[in-house]
Amino acid sequence: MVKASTLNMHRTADGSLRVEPNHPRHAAIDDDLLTAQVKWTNIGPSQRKVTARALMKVGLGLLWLAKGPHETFQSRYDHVRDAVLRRAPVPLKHGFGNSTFPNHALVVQVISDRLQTGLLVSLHYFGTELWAQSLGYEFEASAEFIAEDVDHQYVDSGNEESHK
Amino acid sequence: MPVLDLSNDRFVVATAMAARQHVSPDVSSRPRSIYGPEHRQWAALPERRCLYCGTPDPEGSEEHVLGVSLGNWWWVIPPDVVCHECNHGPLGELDERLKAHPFIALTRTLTNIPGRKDSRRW
Repeated sequence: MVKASTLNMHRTADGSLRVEPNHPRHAAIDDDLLTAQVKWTNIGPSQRKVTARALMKVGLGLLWLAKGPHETFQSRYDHVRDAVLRRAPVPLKHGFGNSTFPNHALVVQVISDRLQTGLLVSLHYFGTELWAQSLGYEFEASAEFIAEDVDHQYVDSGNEESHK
Repeated sequence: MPVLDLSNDRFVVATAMAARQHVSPDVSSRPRSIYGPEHRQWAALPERRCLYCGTPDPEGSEEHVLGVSLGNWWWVIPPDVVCHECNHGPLGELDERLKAHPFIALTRTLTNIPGRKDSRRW
């Protein structure tokens, strides 16, 4: 189910796509071409923070599958656990963009630098990339990083600078 | 749907990959969970704790790294690694919120990616 401010969209029981615009001007059908105007209003700081936490949850789980508990139970990932469970304030950067992988690819990537605390998680979901990055607890993260926390600024991953 | 450990001395890197055909509504063509003997061994280590909250000797079911609702039936952490309270509490809630993300929801709907309920229905 897609809930946008201009329309709802979902699959029916037989698998057909059903588009329900709030007003006729938001969608039009010309033969077999459907044109829909989708406007999002629900991507605020709260939504961004929870998306970043969800990606952190995905990242730690994938690390467990790839490397096991000897890696994931290191204290350098404690801030990830606390971010996921909201046990402590953890600055998180988050952004989105077009995926660099083909549109038929579902890819999850996790990267962590052993020389500093932090985790970068990218989810490439069939053409769209959502990513989130941590740099430890508030006292560990740099002022520049905290300034770009999801609560302060939305960082588009189309900007290469945002991954640094 | 491999999970690859691409780490070196400096960086810890893990990558997991799948393709569109792996999230087919057809249950018979869907790959199975990828965890194997080494994962079961990790899950049974002494002094084990919940991966997320740290509770000693956690008991719980399998944890899907990415929610089933996003089409993931194979990147699964074996039972008793994540406690029931985490798995069915905050982690389940985060899976739902990720599923409701506008771009994820739009992709799921347009490309007809079924979740658990949808698979039963079709």
